[in-house]
Amino acid sequence: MSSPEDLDPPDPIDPIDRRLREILDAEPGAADRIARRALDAPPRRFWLWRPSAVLPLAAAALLLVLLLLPRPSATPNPAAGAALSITNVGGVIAVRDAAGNATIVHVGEPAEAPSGGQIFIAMGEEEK
Amino acid sequence: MDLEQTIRELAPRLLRYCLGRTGDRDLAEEVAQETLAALARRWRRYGPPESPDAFAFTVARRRVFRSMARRRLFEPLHLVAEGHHPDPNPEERAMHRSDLDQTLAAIRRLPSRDREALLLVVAGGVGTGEGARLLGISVSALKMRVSRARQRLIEILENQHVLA
Repeated sequence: MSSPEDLDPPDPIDPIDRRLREILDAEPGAADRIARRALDAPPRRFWLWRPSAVLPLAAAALLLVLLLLPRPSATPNPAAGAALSITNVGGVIAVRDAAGNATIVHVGEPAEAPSGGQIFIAMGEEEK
Repeated sequence: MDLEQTIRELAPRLLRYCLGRTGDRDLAEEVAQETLAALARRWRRYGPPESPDAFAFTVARRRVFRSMARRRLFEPLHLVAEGHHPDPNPEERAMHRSDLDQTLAAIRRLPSRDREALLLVVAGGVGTGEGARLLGISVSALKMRVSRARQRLIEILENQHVLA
């Protein structure tokens, strides 16, 4: 459906417009060449097989998988497996969890070191 | 409406528009050809669009944008891969600049909204009603942009003696 503006008679061509078109006109035959190639172009195959479609999809899927993968925790997780051992060497106390991750929970004088029970409470378990 | 006749009529206009937008003859040909191929596929599968002009220039605008973005992204890699050749000195550069180069440089100096309006209407030969709809503005706003761009282009090109 044409609007009234489209039905208006075209304005006379400005000399600058004509000059601009002359300058921008490509080499002779270029327009014919691209028209012929466009008409002869084979029908496009299923769009999903195009690399430009597959690559972003693959990248997005990989990112999603990486985001959903469980990350190893750096601190012992009492809820998951409870601390297995507590080591106290000269006031430096380390806790090792079921996965084998060790975390230093206290550095100081042996006299100031928390008891095993205090450490469990700090980690979310009841004193045993 | 006949597909072949429509494509042959659109080809030179699209080519001018794409050349004005990209500033690169090879890239302009590639984008114009892809656009016309998209129109041909659409036409054969679903019949002619309501306005082949609007369809073709909408596709061309999108493809030009994508091509330019891709070029900006990968150009530094091309420079590294092919070895960076320093530009010729200014005197040599000035001697080799053709009317086309100077015109393209002048077009690049226009504000982007005015440039788009000028290229659609003047280079692409899109009607003002169609052009206004493509850009999402009123016809009077489009005419104002074209007029402003034309005036600015004349000033730049006259200074460079391209219009002499």
